[in-house]
Amino acid sequence: MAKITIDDKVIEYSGNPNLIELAKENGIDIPHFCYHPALTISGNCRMCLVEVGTLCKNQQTGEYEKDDKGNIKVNFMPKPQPGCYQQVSDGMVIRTNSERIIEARKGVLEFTLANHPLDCPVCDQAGECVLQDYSFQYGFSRSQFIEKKRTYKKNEISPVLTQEMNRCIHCDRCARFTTEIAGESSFARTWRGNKMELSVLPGGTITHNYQGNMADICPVGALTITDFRFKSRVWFLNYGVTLCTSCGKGCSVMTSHKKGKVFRLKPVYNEKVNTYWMCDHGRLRYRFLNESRKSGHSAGGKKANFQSALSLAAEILKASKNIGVIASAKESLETCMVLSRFFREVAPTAHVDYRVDDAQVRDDRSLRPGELLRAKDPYPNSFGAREAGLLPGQGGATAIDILGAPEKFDAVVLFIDDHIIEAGDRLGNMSKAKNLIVLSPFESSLDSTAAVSFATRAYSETSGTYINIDGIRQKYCPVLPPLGDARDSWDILNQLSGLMGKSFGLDSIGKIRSHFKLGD
Amino acid sequence: MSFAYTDVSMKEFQELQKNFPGDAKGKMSLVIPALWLSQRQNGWINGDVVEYVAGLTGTEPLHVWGVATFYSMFNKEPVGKTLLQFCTNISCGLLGGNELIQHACSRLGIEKGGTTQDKKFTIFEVECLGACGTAPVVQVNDTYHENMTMEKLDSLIDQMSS
Amino acid sequence: MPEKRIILDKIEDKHSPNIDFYRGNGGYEALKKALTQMSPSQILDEMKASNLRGRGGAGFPVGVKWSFINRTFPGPKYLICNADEGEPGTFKDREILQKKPHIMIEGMIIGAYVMGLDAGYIYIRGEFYEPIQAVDKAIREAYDAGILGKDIMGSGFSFDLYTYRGAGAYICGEESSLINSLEGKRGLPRLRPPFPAQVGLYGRPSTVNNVESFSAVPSIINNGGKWYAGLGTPKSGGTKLFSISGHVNRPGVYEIPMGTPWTELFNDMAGGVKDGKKLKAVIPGGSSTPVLRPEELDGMTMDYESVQSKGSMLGSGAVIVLDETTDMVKLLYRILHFYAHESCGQCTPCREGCDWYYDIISRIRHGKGRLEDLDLFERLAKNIGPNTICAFGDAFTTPALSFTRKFRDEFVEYIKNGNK
Repeated sequence: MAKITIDDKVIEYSGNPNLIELAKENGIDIPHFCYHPALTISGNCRMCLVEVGTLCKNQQTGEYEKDDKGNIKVNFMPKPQPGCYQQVSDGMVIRTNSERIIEARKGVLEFTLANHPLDCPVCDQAGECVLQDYSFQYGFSRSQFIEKKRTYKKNEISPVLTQEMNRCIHCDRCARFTTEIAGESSFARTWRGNKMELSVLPGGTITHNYQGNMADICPVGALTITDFRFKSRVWFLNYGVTLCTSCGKGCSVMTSHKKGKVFRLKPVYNEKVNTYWMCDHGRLRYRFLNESRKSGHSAGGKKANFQSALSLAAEILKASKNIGVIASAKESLETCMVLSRFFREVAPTAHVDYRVDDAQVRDDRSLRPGELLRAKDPYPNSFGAREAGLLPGQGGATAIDILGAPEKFDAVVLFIDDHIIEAGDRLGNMSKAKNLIVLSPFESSLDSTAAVSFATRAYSETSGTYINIDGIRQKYCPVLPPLGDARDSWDILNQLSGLMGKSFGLDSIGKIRSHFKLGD
Repeated sequence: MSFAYTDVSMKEFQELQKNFPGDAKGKMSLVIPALWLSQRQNGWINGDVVEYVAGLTGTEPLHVWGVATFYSMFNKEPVGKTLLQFCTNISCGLLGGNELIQHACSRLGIEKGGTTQDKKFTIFEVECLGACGTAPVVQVNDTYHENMTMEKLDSLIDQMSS
Repeated sequence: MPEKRIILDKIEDKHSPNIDFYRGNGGYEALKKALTQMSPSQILDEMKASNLRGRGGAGFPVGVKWSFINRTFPGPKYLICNADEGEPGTFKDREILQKKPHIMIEGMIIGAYVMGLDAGYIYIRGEFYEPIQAVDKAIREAYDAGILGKDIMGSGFSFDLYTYRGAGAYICGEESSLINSLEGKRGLPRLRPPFPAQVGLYGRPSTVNNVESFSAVPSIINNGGKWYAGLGTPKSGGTKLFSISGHVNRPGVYEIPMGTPWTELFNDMAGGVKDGKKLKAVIPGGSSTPVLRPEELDGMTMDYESVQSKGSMLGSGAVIVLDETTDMVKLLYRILHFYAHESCGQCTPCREGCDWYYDIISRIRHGKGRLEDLDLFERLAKNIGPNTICAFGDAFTTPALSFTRKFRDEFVEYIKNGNK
């Protein structure tokens, strides 16, 4: 196996690894701004400079030359080389922390900072700014730059992003992302030299659905997400990793939240699903987690405690012969399994369906045209719901049928999720339903007409599994505490099964997983 | 207000196409020549020119704009009919280039980079024109005027004013 | 030693640009010889023996560069002539382009034959509108004479040649920027490796040489590499064009054998300092090379090694003469203005550094300098040249350091007493 020495550490490697990645895998950080593993190499920031040496071989004998101490001599290249661009070869010796490199790095940082406004107190990037971190770690404590700093005219580049060109360090990640990943040529380097800008065409705008990633990969605060402007200092936020539920792709995301409110979503690296990215549609839909949330249950439009709501629901279901069930593919696979069993064994009915969207009806697992990640199906777990069997039985009504004429059923069990609320008119007929039982994390006008309305936990407040459009199963855990008395949907169903005399005994997610053989 | 080549420009463009491979890479090579033809016709590179050149060369408008803004000879603003470009770099500067541009500015009543109100003249201070042996040099539109003196400059401006 | 005119031979004749005149004086005989009597490898041997070093400024041996091309590599391969003459002080290529374009074209066709290249582009700086017209006319003449195009001189070898007009960017004199520009892009230097010999124009193997380098080729073919080498010093072969300008009585382009004493070029040919003034300094190889004081010129000969031994560089052979009245502070201010204007902006130390340098010299020039600014030039330079993608970083720190080191008292005077 080929070997390379980085800072006296001998590392074996195979293939043709990137030096920055190889070093990182071995616990050695080579600082960088413009390098990004998913983008082409630009080599412009000069932050990742390393010393590159090769072992000295005697031309005639082919033997390695040795010094007085018997160590093989190393020939270092006269100039430091960018680590991002350095081809690794067997026997190579790399120094990332020699005196020379430390000096070179300091020097590069001094230039990077020279025209940077240092407006960290009002910059949203502060706290997660690579320039800030590197300055602290590798930079001078004081700058000798006493000149007037360069400024740029402010440009509107899109509604999603705010550009502060004065902060830009010209690393070009954003432009490379736009052409290489988003496949759009709406953002690029223009002008020249110290007047060089990253910009849209005059009067133009960025239109792709992945702009938030440009802010994510911007190492400084030159591109920030307009929605998050001045909302919070990032160090006051808490973080949790979960999944995006805004389509069938199920990108891994991180919530940033404070006092129970979500402030933003960012993508989390997930090799199988979204790699480094997420779409703006999903990113900006975090808001539904904060708005019109339900913390308590009601019956007949009046507040009710959980037990009385449960009893009422059990009575309705016992008394109803003809029950329509509109499930939701925002619910976890675990809930779907319990739900499916409930309406087979406890309150049997053929009128069960999760498909409220056309893409679900068509079982469409494709992406929207021109999209990198966003699926046509707006639900994160349609395939979990399908696997759980939440489909109409023989002669059963579809979800669309039930939504169209809910009055035909003795009782209707309705899961209300953010998508069906957003879709607007779908629920228009539901006030006609007799004995409506609602399960939802959100308040809605149906709370007043429903016989029973349960407050359920949003996905960010619970655990579960989603199956995405590619059949990939992904678990998620709660990142926020539940609101008030909100319950997990599976919990409500499990308790109803007890009240209705056919107790499942599935009172934990673990029990559900093992009962339905869903793995741990 | 859109831009399109005249027949003459289009014919030249079509001739130029033969100089490059017919694939997308070869077409991109035409961006700079196409901008030159546009500038000759239109005087400067505006948004319409950018769109037009992108269409001709199968490139994106932002690419064309990135190219136009990289090269200093593409005018990103309108210029006068006569573009006076004074070199003030080393040898021209040593031999009176600065005095010449000052003289031209005061005579025409404009600053460096400015255009006269009648749109007849624009004055640019430019970098080395590569004719240092005959310094000082003034490039008037495409033509070099070498060993320039105040007198020659005055008569040049007289000639161009009429 | 007098002037030795090989490239410039008969250039003063008003018919020099015409193909008939050129052929009437032995032009295209070298091409004929190369195509009919010599194999590519024989020519390559002669090129190597000639010791011809690249005349664009870097001085890389041309024969060696030509040997980097794998002539059997399938698919199109390109030859590029760098006529982006932009280094302040250089104006020799313009002379050839405008007055004797056929000698360059002949050299290019021979080069293409040696390396097995299909097509060539002459990248001419945008300001050279008139030289472009001259070269275009010469190319048309050559096509008409069967010297370009298919089956050149009945040899079976074919080669097409075109001009390409730049649009105002000094950096495009750097070969990888030039290639980007020729591809219709922003002229940013490329990361290397790969070098153009492997991945050049349109991703194809390519060779880039300067106008003067190509123009030296016909005489090497006619007279042999040994003959050419013998004209110069052991390490710098042949003759070289020197552009001499500034405070000098007879500025112009002079062709002299490498190794000609400085005093001959300066006094005998160029007529010494203009108007009988005293010499203050000489920039020997273009604005990016270190300035030399009069005493440093003692015993200097005009070749790569001698100029280097004096602490400077021969560069593109652009000699700028400065007389005793020259204000070195203002001159450096002007030079650094140039570099701040011309940085491509791609990499950090150069983009930020050249503007910082310009800010510093602006302050000094306007009487707001500090003594520590001179040390700042020194300190910053250590992290510019070694850390940039291309040589532009060195190009602007070098004059700043050499000016402030060698004429420190003038800078100190400005700093202490302002601009008088």
